[in-house]
Amino acid sequence: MRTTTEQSNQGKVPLLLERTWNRGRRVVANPPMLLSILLLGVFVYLIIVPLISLVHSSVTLHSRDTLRVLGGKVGELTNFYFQRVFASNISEVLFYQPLLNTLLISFSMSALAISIGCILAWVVVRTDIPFKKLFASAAVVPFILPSWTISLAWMTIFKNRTVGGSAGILEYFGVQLPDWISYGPVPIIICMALHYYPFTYLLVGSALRDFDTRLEEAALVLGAKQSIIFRRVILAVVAPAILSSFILTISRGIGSFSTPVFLGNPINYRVLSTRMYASLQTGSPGDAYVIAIVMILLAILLMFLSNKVLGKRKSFVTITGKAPKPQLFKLKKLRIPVTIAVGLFLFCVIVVPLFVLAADTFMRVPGVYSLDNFTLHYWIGESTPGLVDGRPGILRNPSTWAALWNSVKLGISASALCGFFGILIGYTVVRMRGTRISTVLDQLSFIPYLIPSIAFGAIYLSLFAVRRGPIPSLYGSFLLLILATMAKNFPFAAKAGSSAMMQLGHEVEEAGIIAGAGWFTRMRRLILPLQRSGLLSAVMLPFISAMRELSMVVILTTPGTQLLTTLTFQYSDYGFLHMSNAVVLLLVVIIVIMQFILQKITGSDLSEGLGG
Amino acid sequence: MKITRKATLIGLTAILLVMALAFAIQAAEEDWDAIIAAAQQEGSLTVYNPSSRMGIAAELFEEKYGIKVEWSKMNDVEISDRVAREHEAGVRGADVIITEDAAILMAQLLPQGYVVNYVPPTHKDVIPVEYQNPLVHQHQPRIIGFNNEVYSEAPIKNLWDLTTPEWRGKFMMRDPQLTSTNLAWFAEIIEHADLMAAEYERHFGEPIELTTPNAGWEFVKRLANNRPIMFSSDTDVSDAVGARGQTNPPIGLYVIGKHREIEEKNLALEAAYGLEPTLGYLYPAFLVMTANSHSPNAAKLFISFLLEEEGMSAWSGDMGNFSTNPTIPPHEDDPLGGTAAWAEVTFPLNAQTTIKYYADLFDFWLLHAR
Repeated sequence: MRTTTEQSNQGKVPLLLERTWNRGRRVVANPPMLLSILLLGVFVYLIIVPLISLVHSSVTLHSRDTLRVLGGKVGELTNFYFQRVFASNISEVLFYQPLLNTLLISFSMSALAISIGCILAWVVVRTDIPFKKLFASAAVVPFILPSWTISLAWMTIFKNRTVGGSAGILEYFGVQLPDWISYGPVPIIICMALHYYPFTYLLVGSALRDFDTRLEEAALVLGAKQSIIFRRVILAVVAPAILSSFILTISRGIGSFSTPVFLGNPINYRVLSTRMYASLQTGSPGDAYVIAIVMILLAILLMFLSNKVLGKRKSFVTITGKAPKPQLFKLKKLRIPVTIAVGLFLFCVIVVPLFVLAADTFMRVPGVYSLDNFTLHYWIGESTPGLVDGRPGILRNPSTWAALWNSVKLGISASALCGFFGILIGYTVVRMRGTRISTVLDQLSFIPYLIPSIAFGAIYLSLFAVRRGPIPSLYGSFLLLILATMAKNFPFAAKAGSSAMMQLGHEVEEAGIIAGAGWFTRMRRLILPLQRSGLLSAVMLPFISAMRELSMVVILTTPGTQLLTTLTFQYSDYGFLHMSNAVVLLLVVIIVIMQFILQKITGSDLSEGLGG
Repeated sequence: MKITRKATLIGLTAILLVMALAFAIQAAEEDWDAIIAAAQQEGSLTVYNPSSRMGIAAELFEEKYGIKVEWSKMNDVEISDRVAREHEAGVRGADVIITEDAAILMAQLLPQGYVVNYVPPTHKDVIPVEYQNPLVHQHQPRIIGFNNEVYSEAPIKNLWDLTTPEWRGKFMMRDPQLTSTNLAWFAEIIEHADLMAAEYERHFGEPIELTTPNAGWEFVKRLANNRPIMFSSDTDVSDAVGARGQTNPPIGLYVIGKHREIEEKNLALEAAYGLEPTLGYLYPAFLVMTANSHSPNAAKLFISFLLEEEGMSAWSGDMGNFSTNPTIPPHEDDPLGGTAAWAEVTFPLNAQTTIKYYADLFDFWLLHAR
């Protein structure tokens, strides 16, 4: 289209030179092309280079290990870490046992989460249960809360005296609890399932909602038995939704950090992520980077397998036309018990944890639940020696406000950048559709999704801990947090951006061109205003996820860049569980408000936020 | 002839240079007022250290000199890692650190030039020479204590008791992987292997059967296998050991300074005096400045301040922290009356011993403490 106008530029210059000249001009004169090259640069810098750096860091000697590899020099190439992790006398501790634990937890947790999600989805969507609206929106709340809320509540209730410190509520009332209830795989699996079941609930729920009941009726008319209808019709249609929620859930399980760190660490029960964190903490970053590589490979393998399986089964989801209002399953006698069961379940996973956390913050001496032990100290108290090392209550504590401000700052800057890049990526990918560069961009923007958060943090740590050629060290800087948060959220921003752009026909921009508007004017006056709602969700999602992200930032924050999430983690590390609980509650309030605003503005359902 | 003259010339120049240098150093050292003025120009400094009482010292310092101290409490692995990283990155980070991680200080931070040892001229003649290279700020005993509400006297008489089934899952300590001094204590125990073997035989009446190279390693292994409970802070340990109303309280290894909280928190804590062969260990905290400090003068002034009575008052007001400055007496409540007496009943840590065993010990602990 543009080339014709450029043909007039013919002169006496040799053909080859002219061609290059023309090609160069075409690139410059073609904003999407120019943009895609720029974006490619950004992606390479923020995604590819860090990955390479991770691998490099896993084969170079780190400072503390000069005590281990005698005569070794910092920075020299070594296979020490790979050998240590995979084939040394401590490999079992460093790698194999944590790997097994990770797999056990991820699979069991997914199974439990999917069962809960499916049952809940079926009851809410397909039966005549009352309070549908309330149940439907309450069911996704656990996923909005920071993922370790339930584990903190679990500890507050079920902690026993094995690891010392104050015991939980049940022990206070004289119930002796065995270790396996207080710590380790069982509580980790339960708490994680309670956080992640909304994936299944949302996906299966919407599959059931879209499900054409005429299929069921047809089967009935044809004389199929209930069991056959269930297996051959309902299950077949819902299966893809279950499979994709399985993938979503299990990939979170492999990378998840906060629940195992709270419930596993006290008894030395390690999964890959917490083992990796421990290695970083104890001054063995080399081991940590090797483990991070394994975690990434594991996630990629899963994604690959799921694509194979899902790709085959996708043909089942062919829904034509608008299905009539599905006939609701009559619960009859069971209606009241089921209502009570669902209500009780939701009460236990939402109200009880928050209430327990709140109650704990009002107890002066932790673990003593009586009225004369009531205090507001941990919220508004002034510094008192002997109580939490003389720290003032969290609302009076400058470090809380500093952390809150940092969290907000991080959320705003990372999400603004995400929105900006999301739209640019969307614009470029859609406008350049069919070209190789568009495909490459699309795939590159997806990579951060494959990398577990904590491994992503490790990657950024490995890259920016030291100056590498032209890349300055950003260690300890706030910019590092912004870059990492932004890059981690690229997939969602890109998805939001490109799906919004897809809906925007080329005609709008062509009209602008005809009217003589330059590229910048077109972007400013046409594209961006039309993309407002897409932009908004590309911005809000990263904001919320930045507010509650822990596992990635926990290895990137320094004392000067503390966030609300890392503050809760630090307090619990110091043994100030009630301070930690108070900060979590503050976080919950903020997140719920943000989520509410997001839904009000976009009018969207949470299901769009599945990624976050 | 020519050559000799040239040589003389070079010699003379060299002597002059050395003199000038010596003079320059002396001049620089002696012009303490200039350092104070320059420090006030710099206006602030950053300190990493393992103690929350640094906050008190920081306030006193700011009151006195108007120089702000940004301080953070970190464990020693974190401190040395951060210092190394900040140095390599060339970013502005800590100016002064206090670290208890002697091995990494001696084997890495100092020789690689991440930190430099600085003894202020104000204290060159005050601090005993053996504590000057590198500069030691204070010594603290970390000891084994018990709950004296339940036990009228120490429930264990010998360190080997900690490896018996009776104390399985009932010994608490800071995680040795995060607490270099605990690992260093194990190194001392291994170094004293013969003593450990003799003590075993004396206590249990039979010679020890080894599954490891010596009785020191054997102790570490059996202790690790006995499911010790590990925390990240001394407060967690002393609170858990000393809480009242327990029936079966644990034993713990914690800094003796925690005994200052006995009244505030209503704890029942007592040190297991008489424990053989050692009650715990005595460890130094080193006070050094970073090589590329952005506020070198403020750093020097702060180091000097921490060695003074006023700066040390943040710690010396409670027992259990012994300044290396002999003009600051030990706390009046101190049960033994000073560093020398504590060194008698504990194993004083030696950096060279730690360096010798560090690598093996770290993995050994990781392997057996499960």
